[in-house]
Amino acid sequence: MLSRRTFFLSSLAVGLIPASAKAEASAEAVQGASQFIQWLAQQAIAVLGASNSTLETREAEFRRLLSQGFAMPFIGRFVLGRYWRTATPEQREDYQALFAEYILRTYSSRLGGYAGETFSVTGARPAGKQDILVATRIDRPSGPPIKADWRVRVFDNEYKIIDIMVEGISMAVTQRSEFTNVVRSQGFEGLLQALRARTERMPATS
Amino acid sequence: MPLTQMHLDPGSGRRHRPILASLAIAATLLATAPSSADIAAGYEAYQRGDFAAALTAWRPLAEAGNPRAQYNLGILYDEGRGVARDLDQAIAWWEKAAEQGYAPAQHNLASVYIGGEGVAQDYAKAVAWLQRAADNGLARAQYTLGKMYYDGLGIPADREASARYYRMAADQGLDRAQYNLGKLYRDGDGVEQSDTESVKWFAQAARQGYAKAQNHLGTRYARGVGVDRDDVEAYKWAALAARQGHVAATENLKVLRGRMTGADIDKAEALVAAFRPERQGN
Repeated sequence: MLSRRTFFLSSLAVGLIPASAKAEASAEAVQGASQFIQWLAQQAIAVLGASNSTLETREAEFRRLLSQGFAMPFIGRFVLGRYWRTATPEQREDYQALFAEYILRTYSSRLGGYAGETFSVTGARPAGKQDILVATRIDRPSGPPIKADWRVRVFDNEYKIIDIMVEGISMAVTQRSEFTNVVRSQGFEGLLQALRARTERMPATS
Repeated sequence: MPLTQMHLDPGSGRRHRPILASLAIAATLLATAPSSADIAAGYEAYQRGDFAAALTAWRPLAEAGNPRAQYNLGILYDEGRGVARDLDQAIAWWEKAAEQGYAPAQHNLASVYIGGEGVAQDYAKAVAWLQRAADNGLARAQYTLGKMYYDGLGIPADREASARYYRMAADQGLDRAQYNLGKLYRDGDGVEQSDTESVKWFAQAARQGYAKAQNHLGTRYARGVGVDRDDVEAYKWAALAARQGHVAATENLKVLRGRMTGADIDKAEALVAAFRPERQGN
Protein backbone atom coordinates (compact mmCIF):
# COMPACT_ATOMS: atom_id res chain seq x y z
CA MET A 1 0.00 0.00 0.00
CA LEU A 2 1.20 3.47 -0.85
CA SER A 3 2.11 5.51 2.14
CA ARG A 4 1.24 9.14 2.53
CA ARG A 5 4.98 9.81 2.31
CA THR A 6 5.37 8.24 -1.12
CA PHE A 7 2.38 10.19 -2.25
CA PHE A 8 3.85 13.52 -1.19
CA LEU A 9 7.26 12.66 -2.62
CA SER A 10 5.77 11.94 -6.01
CA SER A 11 3.87 15.22 -5.74
CA LEU A 12 7.11 17.03 -5.14
CA ALA A 13 8.66 15.43 -8.19
CA VAL A 14 5.87 16.90 -10.28
CA GLY A 15 6.60 20.34 -8.92
CA LEU A 16 10.15 20.20 -10.27
CA ILE A 17 9.06 19.95 -13.87
CA PRO A 18 9.24 23.37 -15.59
CA ALA A 19 5.71 24.53 -16.27
CA SER A 20 6.59 26.20 -19.57
CA ALA A 21 7.69 22.91 -21.13
CA LYS A 22 4.31 21.27 -20.63
CA ALA A 23 1.81 20.88 -23.44
CA GLU A 24 0.16 18.20 -21.34
CA ALA A 25 0.77 16.47 -18.02
CA SER A 26 4.09 14.59 -17.93
CA ALA A 27 4.43 10.84 -17.62
CA GLU A 28 5.55 11.32 -14.01
CA ALA A 29 2.46 13.37 -13.24
CA VAL A 30 0.23 10.75 -14.84
CA GLN A 31 1.80 8.06 -12.72
CA GLY A 32 1.66 10.24 -9.60
CA ALA A 33 -2.02 11.04 -10.10
CA SER A 34 -2.77 7.38 -10.60
CA GLN A 35 -0.98 6.54 -7.33
CA PHE A 36 -2.82 9.32 -5.56
CA ILE A 37 -6.22 7.92 -6.58
CA GLN A 38 -5.09 4.41 -5.64
CA TRP A 39 -3.94 5.67 -2.24
CA LEU A 40 -7.18 7.54 -1.62
CA ALA A 41 -9.25 4.56 -2.71
CA GLN A 42 -7.43 2.13 -0.45
CA GLN A 43 -8.01 4.39 2.52
CA ALA A 44 -11.65 4.85 1.55
CA ILE A 45 -12.32 1.14 1.16
CA ALA A 46 -10.73 0.51 4.56
CA VAL A 47 -12.94 3.15 6.18
CA LEU A 48 -16.12 1.97 4.48
CA GLY A 49 -15.40 -1.68 5.04
CA ALA A 50 -15.00 -1.33 8.83
CA SER A 51 -17.72 -3.44 10.40
CA ASN A 52 -17.73 -2.04 13.92
CA SER A 53 -19.63 1.18 13.25
CA THR A 54 -22.87 2.35 11.67
CA LEU A 55 -23.09 3.18 7.99
CA GLU A 56 -23.63 6.86 8.86
CA THR A 57 -20.44 6.91 10.96
CA ARG A 58 -18.43 5.13 8.25
CA GLU A 59 -19.70 7.53 5.62
CA ALA A 60 -18.94 10.57 7.76
CA GLU A 61 -15.37 9.31 8.03
CA PHE A 62 -15.32 8.62 4.27
CA ARG A 63 -16.49 12.18 3.56
CA ARG A 64 -13.74 13.56 5.79
CA LEU A 65 -11.16 11.56 3.85
CA LEU A 66 -12.63 12.47 0.47
CA SER A 67 -12.72 16.17 1.34
CA GLN A 68 -8.94 16.15 1.70
CA GLY A 69 -8.59 14.81 -1.83
CA PHE A 70 -10.94 17.27 -3.53
CA ALA A 71 -10.12 20.82 -4.69
CA MET A 72 -13.40 21.84 -3.10
CA PRO A 73 -13.29 25.67 -3.38
CA PHE A 74 -12.15 25.34 -7.01
CA ILE A 75 -14.99 22.97 -7.92
CA GLY A 76 -17.52 25.07 -6.00
CA ARG A 77 -16.60 28.19 -7.95
CA PHE A 78 -16.61 26.36 -11.28
CA VAL A 79 -20.06 24.91 -10.66
CA LEU A 80 -21.51 28.32 -9.81
CA GLY A 81 -20.32 29.80 -13.12
CA ARG A 82 -20.81 33.54 -13.46
CA TYR A 83 -22.95 33.72 -10.31
CA TRP A 84 -19.87 33.41 -8.11
CA ARG A 85 -18.91 37.02 -8.93
CA THR A 86 -22.28 38.47 -7.91
CA ALA A 87 -22.64 36.53 -4.63
CA THR A 88 -22.05 38.40 -1.34
CA PRO A 89 -19.21 37.21 0.94
CA GLU A 90 -21.72 35.61 3.33
CA GLN A 91 -23.50 33.85 0.46
CA ARG A 92 -20.16 32.55 -0.83
CA GLU A 93 -19.24 31.23 2.58
CA ASP A 94 -22.62 29.51 3.06
CA TYR A 95 -22.49 28.17 -0.46
CA GLN A 96 -18.99 26.69 -0.17
CA ALA A 97 -19.84 24.91 3.09
CA LEU A 98 -23.12 23.53 1.74
CA PHE A 99 -21.61 22.60 -1.60
CA ALA A 100 -18.81 20.61 0.03
CA GLU A 101 -21.30 18.72 2.17
CA TYR A 102 -23.57 18.13 -0.82
CA ILE A 103 -20.87 16.84 -3.15
CA LEU A 104 -19.39 14.57 -0.48
CA ARG A 105 -22.77 13.09 0.34
CA THR A 106 -23.50 12.57 -3.32
CA TYR A 107 -20.26 10.73 -3.94
CA SER A 108 -20.30 8.70 -0.76
CA SER A 109 -23.77 7.34 -1.44
CA ARG A 110 -23.06 6.75 -5.15
CA LEU A 111 -19.68 5.13 -4.72
CA GLY A 112 -19.48 3.61 -1.30
CA GLY A 113 -21.06 1.65 1.45
CA TYR A 114 -21.36 -1.74 -0.16
CA ALA A 115 -20.09 -4.76 1.70
CA GLY A 116 -17.30 -6.45 -0.25
CA GLU A 117 -16.76 -3.53 -2.62
CA THR A 118 -13.44 -3.42 -4.50
CA PHE A 119 -11.81 -0.59 -6.38
CA SER A 120 -9.19 -0.75 -9.12
CA VAL A 121 -7.30 1.79 -11.17
CA THR A 122 -7.53 0.67 -14.79
CA GLY A 123 -5.52 3.39 -16.47
CA ALA A 124 -4.40 7.03 -16.52
CA ARG A 125 -3.77 9.58 -19.27
CA PRO A 126 -3.17 13.32 -19.70
CA ALA A 127 -6.27 15.45 -20.24
CA GLY A 128 -6.18 19.02 -21.53
CA LYS A 129 -3.10 21.12 -20.82
CA GLN A 130 -2.45 20.21 -17.21
CA ASP A 131 -4.87 17.55 -15.94
CA ILE A 132 -4.75 13.80 -15.63
CA LEU A 133 -7.71 11.49 -16.07
CA VAL A 134 -7.46 8.38 -13.87
CA ALA A 135 -9.79 5.58 -14.95
CA THR A 136 -11.18 3.32 -12.24
CA ARG A 137 -13.66 0.51 -11.82
CA ILE A 138 -15.69 -0.24 -8.73
CA ASP A 139 -16.88 -3.84 -8.42
CA ARG A 140 -19.64 -4.97 -6.11
CA PRO A 141 -20.77 -8.44 -5.11
CA SER A 142 -24.25 -7.52 -6.36
CA GLY A 143 -24.96 -5.25 -9.29
CA PRO A 144 -22.95 -4.12 -12.31
CA PRO A 145 -19.52 -2.48 -11.92
CA ILE A 146 -19.28 1.32 -12.01
CA LYS A 147 -16.74 3.05 -14.24
CA ALA A 148 -15.52 6.37 -12.90
CA ASP A 149 -12.81 8.67 -14.30
CA TRP A 150 -11.21 11.06 -11.83
CA ARG A 151 -9.89 14.34 -13.21
CA VAL A 152 -6.83 15.30 -11.18
CA ARG A 153 -4.85 18.56 -11.14
CA VAL A 154 -1.79 19.64 -9.16
CA PHE A 155 -2.32 22.56 -6.75
CA ASP A 156 0.69 23.73 -4.72
CA ASN A 157 2.49 20.41 -5.25
CA GLU A 158 -0.50 18.37 -4.16
CA TYR A 159 -2.78 16.26 -6.29
CA LYS A 160 -6.44 17.20 -6.02
CA ILE A 161 -9.56 15.85 -7.69
CA ILE A 162 -11.40 18.50 -9.71
CA ASP A 163 -14.10 16.38 -11.34
CA ILE A 164 -15.51 12.87 -11.59
CA MET A 165 -16.85 11.44 -14.83
CA VAL A 166 -19.27 8.64 -14.01
CA GLU A 167 -19.99 6.53 -17.07
CA GLY A 168 -18.52 9.34 -19.18
CA ILE A 169 -20.65 12.14 -17.75
CA SER A 170 -18.91 15.00 -15.96
CA MET A 171 -20.44 15.64 -12.54
CA ALA A 172 -19.11 19.22 -12.47
CA VAL A 173 -20.61 20.12 -15.85
CA THR A 174 -23.93 18.47 -14.95
CA GLN A 175 -24.05 20.29 -11.63
CA ARG A 176 -23.13 23.60 -13.24
CA SER A 177 -26.11 23.52 -15.57
CA GLU A 178 -28.37 22.37 -12.73
CA PHE A 179 -27.17 24.99 -10.23
CA THR A 180 -27.16 27.95 -12.58
CA ASN A 181 -30.74 27.04 -13.56
CA VAL A 182 -31.80 27.16 -9.92
CA VAL A 183 -30.12 30.54 -9.36
CA ARG A 184 -31.78 31.92 -12.51
CA SER A 185 -35.26 30.83 -11.44
CA GLN A 186 -35.10 31.02 -7.61
CA GLY A 187 -32.24 33.37 -6.84
CA PHE A 188 -29.15 32.62 -4.80
CA GLU A 189 -31.08 31.93 -1.59
CA GLY A 190 -33.11 29.39 -3.58
CA LEU A 191 -29.89 27.54 -4.49
CA LEU A 192 -28.67 27.60 -0.89
CA GLN A 193 -32.01 26.25 0.28
CA ALA A 194 -31.91 23.51 -2.38
CA LEU A 195 -28.42 22.43 -1.24
CA ARG A 196 -29.54 22.59 2.36
CA ALA A 197 -32.56 20.42 1.55
CA ARG A 198 -30.41 17.79 -0.13
CA THR A 199 -27.91 17.60 2.69
CA GLU A 200 -30.59 17.55 5.40
CA ARG A 201 -32.28 14.32 4.30
CA MET A 202 -33.26 12.14 7.27
CA PRO A 203 -31.49 8.74 7.28
CA ALA A 204 -33.03 5.25 7.39
CA THR A 205 -34.62 4.29 10.71
CA SER A 206 -34.65 1.07 12.69
CA MET B 1 -51.49 32.55 3.78
CA PRO B 2 -53.10 31.51 7.09
CA LEU B 3 -51.51 28.54 8.76
CA THR B 4 -54.64 26.40 8.47
CA GLN B 5 -54.57 26.49 4.67
CA MET B 6 -51.23 24.79 4.63
CA HIS B 7 -52.67 21.66 6.11
CA LEU B 8 -54.79 21.16 3.01
CA ASP B 9 -53.79 17.97 1.25
CA PRO B 10 -50.25 18.69 0.08
CA GLY B 11 -50.08 15.50 -1.97
CA SER B 12 -53.04 16.34 -4.19
CA GLY B 13 -50.85 16.91 -7.25
CA ARG B 14 -49.37 13.42 -7.35
CA ARG B 15 -50.77 9.95 -6.94
CA HIS B 16 -53.50 11.09 -4.62
CA ARG B 17 -54.62 8.23 -2.39
CA PRO B 18 -58.36 8.13 -1.82
CA ILE B 19 -59.49 7.77 1.77
CA LEU B 20 -60.94 4.32 1.07
CA ALA B 21 -57.55 3.04 -0.04
CA SER B 22 -55.98 4.40 3.14
CA LEU B 23 -58.61 2.62 5.17
CA ALA B 24 -57.90 -0.58 3.26
CA ILE B 25 -54.22 -0.19 4.13
CA ALA B 26 -55.05 0.41 7.76
CA ALA B 27 -57.12 -2.78 7.72
CA THR B 28 -54.24 -4.70 6.12
CA LEU B 29 -51.92 -3.32 8.76
CA LEU B 30 -54.14 -4.65 11.52
CA ALA B 31 -54.59 -8.00 9.80
CA THR B 32 -50.95 -8.78 9.05
CA ALA B 33 -49.26 -6.76 11.79
CA PRO B 34 -45.89 -6.47 9.99
CA SER B 35 -43.21 -7.42 12.40
CA SER B 36 -40.93 -4.71 13.73
CA ALA B 37 -38.30 -7.43 14.03
CA ASP B 38 -38.20 -7.57 10.21
CA ILE B 39 -37.68 -3.82 10.04
CA ALA B 40 -34.82 -4.13 12.49
CA ALA B 41 -33.32 -7.01 10.48
CA GLY B 42 -33.46 -4.84 7.36
CA TYR B 43 -31.86 -1.97 9.24
CA GLU B 44 -29.09 -4.19 10.50
CA ALA B 45 -28.39 -5.37 6.93
CA TYR B 46 -28.43 -1.75 5.73
CA GLN B 47 -25.85 -0.79 8.34
CA ARG B 48 -23.70 -3.72 7.28
CA GLY B 49 -23.78 -2.55 3.67
CA ASP B 50 -25.90 -5.48 2.52
CA PHE B 51 -28.49 -3.39 0.71
CA ALA B 52 -30.00 -6.30 -1.20
CA ALA B 53 -30.93 -7.94 2.12
CA ALA B 54 -32.34 -4.67 3.43
CA LEU B 55 -34.48 -4.39 0.33
CA THR B 56 -35.73 -7.97 0.75
CA ALA B 57 -36.66 -7.29 4.38
CA TRP B 58 -38.39 -3.95 3.83
CA ARG B 59 -40.23 -4.36 0.53
CA PRO B 60 -42.96 -6.81 1.68
CA LEU B 61 -43.59 -4.70 4.79
CA ALA B 62 -43.75 -1.54 2.68
CA GLU B 63 -46.20 -3.18 0.31
CA ALA B 64 -48.29 -4.24 3.29
CA GLY B 65 -48.51 -0.56 4.27
CA ASN B 66 -45.99 -0.19 7.07
CA PRO B 67 -44.93 3.50 7.01
CA ARG B 68 -41.46 2.93 8.48
CA ALA B 69 -40.69 0.25 5.87
CA GLN B 70 -42.11 2.48 3.11
CA TYR B 71 -39.88 5.29 4.29
CA ASN B 72 -36.76 3.08 4.42
CA LEU B 73 -37.51 1.64 0.99
CA GLY B 74 -37.70 5.21 -0.28
CA ILE B 75 -34.22 5.80 1.16
CA LEU B 76 -32.83 2.84 -0.81
CA TYR B 77 -34.33 4.23 -4.04
CA ASP B 78 -33.09 7.75 -3.26
CA GLU B 79 -29.56 6.55 -2.57
CA GLY B 80 -29.60 3.95 -5.33
CA ARG B 81 -28.60 1.19 -2.95
CA GLY B 82 -29.61 -2.38 -3.64
CA VAL B 83 -31.65 -0.93 -6.53
CA ALA B 84 -30.99 1.44 -9.41
CA ARG B 85 -31.40 5.03 -8.20
CA ASP B 86 -35.00 6.01 -8.94
CA LEU B 87 -36.25 9.23 -7.44
CA ASP B 88 -39.82 8.66 -8.69
CA GLN B 89 -39.94 5.44 -6.65
CA ALA B 90 -38.42 7.18 -3.64
CA ILE B 91 -41.02 9.93 -3.85
CA ALA B 92 -43.87 7.44 -4.29
CA TRP B 93 -42.85 5.46 -1.18
CA TRP B 94 -42.21 8.57 0.90
CA GLU B 95 -45.65 9.88 -0.10
CA LYS B 96 -47.30 6.71 1.14
CA ALA B 97 -45.50 6.97 4.49
CA ALA B 98 -46.00 10.75 4.68
CA GLU B 99 -49.73 10.46 4.14
CA GLN B 100 -49.83 8.07 7.08
CA GLY B 101 -48.26 10.82 9.19
CA TYR B 102 -44.67 9.52 9.30
CA ALA B 103 -42.63 12.68 9.98
CA PRO B 104 -39.22 11.71 8.48
CA ALA B 105 -41.00 10.87 5.20
CA GLN B 106 -42.86 14.19 5.30
CA HIS B 107 -39.54 15.94 5.80
CA ASN B 108 -37.71 14.13 2.99
CA LEU B 109 -40.61 14.69 0.62
CA ALA B 110 -40.39 18.41 1.38
CA SER B 111 -36.65 18.32 0.69
CA VAL B 112 -37.33 16.81 -2.75
CA TYR B 113 -39.78 19.63 -3.60
CA ILE B 114 -37.32 22.28 -2.37
CA GLY B 115 -34.42 20.79 -4.33
CA GLY B 116 -36.50 20.15 -7.45
CA GLU B 117 -34.89 16.75 -7.98
CA GLY B 118 -37.00 14.45 -10.13
CA VAL B 119 -39.99 16.77 -9.65
CA ALA B 120 -40.79 20.35 -10.51
CA GLN B 121 -39.58 22.58 -7.71
CA ASP B 122 -42.64 23.42 -5.62
CA TYR B 123 -42.08 25.49 -2.48
CA ALA B 124 -45.78 25.55 -1.58
CA LYS B 125 -45.94 21.75 -1.44
CA ALA B 126 -42.66 21.68 0.45
CA VAL B 127 -43.98 24.13 3.05
CA ALA B 128 -47.19 22.12 3.48
CA TRP B 129 -45.23 18.92 4.20
CA LEU B 130 -42.73 20.74 6.42
CA GLN B 131 -45.63 22.15 8.41
CA ARG B 132 -46.98 18.67 9.05
CA ALA B 133 -43.57 17.29 10.00
CA ALA B 134 -42.90 20.32 12.22
CA ASP B 135 -46.25 19.82 13.94
CA ASN B 136 -45.15 16.23 14.51
CA GLY B 137 -42.17 17.62 16.41
CA LEU B 138 -39.37 16.84 13.94
CA ALA B 139 -36.52 19.27 14.67
CA ARG B 140 -35.05 19.33 11.15
CA ALA B 141 -38.46 20.15 9.67
CA GLN B 142 -38.94 22.96 12.19
CA TYR B 143 -35.55 24.36 11.25
CA THR B 144 -36.14 24.11 7.50
CA LEU B 145 -39.58 25.68 7.89
CA GLY B 146 -37.90 28.52 9.79
CA LYS B 147 -35.61 29.03 6.76
CA MET B 148 -38.58 29.05 4.36
CA TYR B 149 -40.27 31.73 6.49
CA TYR B 150 -37.03 33.68 6.71
CA ASP B 151 -36.44 33.79 2.95
CA GLY B 152 -40.13 33.89 2.02
CA LEU B 153 -39.98 30.72 -0.08
CA GLY B 154 -43.44 29.25 -0.67
CA ILE B 155 -44.89 31.60 1.94
CA PRO B 156 -44.65 35.34 2.53
CA ALA B 157 -41.49 36.16 4.51
CA ASP B 158 -42.27 36.30 8.23
CA ARG B 159 -39.28 36.77 10.53
CA GLU B 160 -41.30 36.24 13.71
CA ALA B 161 -42.57 32.89 12.45
CA SER B 162 -39.01 32.09 11.42
CA ALA B 163 -37.76 32.78 14.96
CA ARG B 164 -40.57 30.66 16.41
CA TYR B 165 -39.63 27.60 14.36
CA TYR B 166 -35.89 28.04 14.85
CA ARG B 167 -36.56 28.13 18.58
CA MET B 168 -38.56 24.88 18.52
CA ALA B 169 -35.69 23.11 16.77
CA ALA B 170 -33.05 24.89 18.89
CA ASP B 171 -34.77 23.75 22.09
CA GLN B 172 -34.47 20.19 20.77
CA GLY B 173 -30.72 20.71 20.36
CA LEU B 174 -30.36 21.20 16.59
CA ASP B 175 -27.09 23.13 16.13
CA ARG B 176 -27.96 25.05 12.92
CA ALA B 177 -31.25 26.18 14.44
CA GLN B 178 -29.42 27.41 17.55
CA TYR B 179 -26.96 29.29 15.35
CA ASN B 180 -29.70 30.91 13.26
CA LEU B 181 -31.65 31.91 16.38
CA GLY B 182 -28.44 33.47 17.71
CA LYS B 183 -28.18 35.55 14.53
CA LEU B 184 -31.79 36.74 14.86
CA TYR B 185 -31.11 37.90 18.44
CA ARG B 186 -27.88 39.59 17.38
CA ASP B 187 -29.73 41.55 14.67
CA GLY B 188 -33.07 42.02 16.44
CA ASP B 189 -34.63 40.31 13.45
CA GLY B 190 -38.05 38.80 14.29
CA VAL B 191 -37.17 38.93 18.01
CA GLU B 192 -36.26 41.74 20.39
CA GLN B 193 -32.53 42.45 19.99
CA SER B 194 -30.50 40.84 22.78
CA ASP B 195 -26.74 40.33 22.80
CA THR B 196 -26.89 38.00 25.79
CA GLU B 197 -29.52 35.76 24.14
CA SER B 198 -27.43 35.83 20.97
CA VAL B 199 -24.34 34.66 22.85
CA LYS B 200 -26.34 31.99 24.66
CA TRP B 201 -27.52 30.39 21.40
CA PHE B 202 -24.19 30.79 19.58
CA ALA B 203 -22.55 29.08 22.56
CA GLN B 204 -24.94 26.12 22.47
CA ALA B 205 -24.27 25.49 18.79
CA ALA B 206 -20.53 26.17 19.23
CA ARG B 207 -20.26 23.58 22.00
CA GLN B 208 -21.72 21.03 19.57
CA GLY B 209 -18.90 21.80 17.14
CA TYR B 210 -20.79 24.03 14.67
CA ALA B 211 -18.05 26.07 12.95
CA LYS B 212 -19.98 29.21 12.05
CA ALA B 213 -21.32 29.53 15.60
CA GLN B 214 -17.81 29.00 16.98
CA ASN B 215 -16.54 31.86 14.84
CA HIS B 216 -19.35 34.20 15.94
CA LEU B 217 -18.89 33.25 19.58
CA GLY B 218 -15.17 33.98 19.25
CA THR B 219 -15.97 37.42 17.85
CA ARG B 220 -18.38 38.13 20.75
CA TYR B 221 -15.66 37.26 23.29
CA ALA B 222 -13.05 39.29 21.41
CA ARG B 223 -15.27 42.39 21.42
CA GLY B 224 -16.97 41.81 24.77
CA VAL B 225 -20.44 42.00 23.25
CA GLY B 226 -23.15 40.11 25.21
CA VAL B 227 -20.42 38.54 27.32
CA ASP B 228 -17.37 39.79 29.25
CA ARG B 229 -14.38 40.30 26.98
CA ASP B 230 -12.04 37.32 27.20
CA ASP B 231 -9.27 36.83 24.64
CA VAL B 232 -8.49 33.30 25.79
CA GLU B 233 -12.09 32.22 25.09
CA ALA B 234 -12.10 34.26 21.86
CA TYR B 235 -8.96 32.45 20.73
CA LYS B 236 -10.33 29.06 21.70
CA TRP B 237 -13.49 29.43 19.62
CA ALA B 238 -11.77 31.08 16.66
CA ALA B 239 -9.19 28.29 16.60
CA LEU B 240 -11.88 25.60 16.75
CA ALA B 241 -13.69 27.20 13.79
CA ALA B 242 -10.45 27.75 11.87
CA ARG B 243 -9.57 24.08 12.34
CA GLN B 244 -12.73 23.25 10.38
CA GLY B 245 -11.63 25.47 7.51
CA HIS B 246 -13.61 28.59 8.46
CA VAL B 247 -11.84 31.41 6.59
CA ALA B 248 -12.96 34.44 8.66
CA ALA B 249 -12.00 32.59 11.85
CA THR B 250 -8.47 32.12 10.50
CA GLU B 251 -8.20 35.90 10.04
CA ASN B 252 -9.62 36.59 13.51
CA LEU B 253 -7.13 34.19 15.00
CA LYS B 254 -4.24 36.14 13.47
CA VAL B 255 -5.47 39.37 15.05
CA LEU B 256 -5.85 37.69 18.45
CA ARG B 257 -2.36 36.18 18.29
CA GLY B 258 -0.99 39.65 17.67
CA ARG B 259 -2.44 41.06 20.89
CA MET B 260 -2.17 38.12 23.31
CA THR B 261 0.68 37.05 25.60
CA GLY B 262 2.41 33.73 24.98
CA ALA B 263 1.04 32.41 28.28
CA ASP B 264 -2.55 33.26 27.28
CA ILE B 265 -2.10 31.65 23.87
CA ASP B 266 -0.82 28.47 25.57
CA LYS B 267 -3.83 28.50 27.88
CA ALA B 268 -6.17 28.86 24.90
CA GLU B 269 -4.39 26.14 22.93
CA ALA B 270 -4.85 23.78 25.89
CA LEU B 271 -8.60 24.52 25.83
CA VAL B 272 -8.66 23.80 22.10
CA ALA B 273 -6.88 20.49 22.60
CA ALA B 274 -9.30 19.50 25.37
CA PHE B 275 -12.42 20.38 23.35
CA ARG B 276 -14.87 17.55 22.64
CA PRO B 277 -18.12 18.38 20.83
CA GLU B 278 -21.27 17.93 22.89
CA ARG B 279 -24.09 15.97 21.32
CA GLN B 280 -27.50 17.50 22.01
CA GLY B 281 -29.66 16.65 19.03
CA ASN B 282 -29.41 15.71 15.39
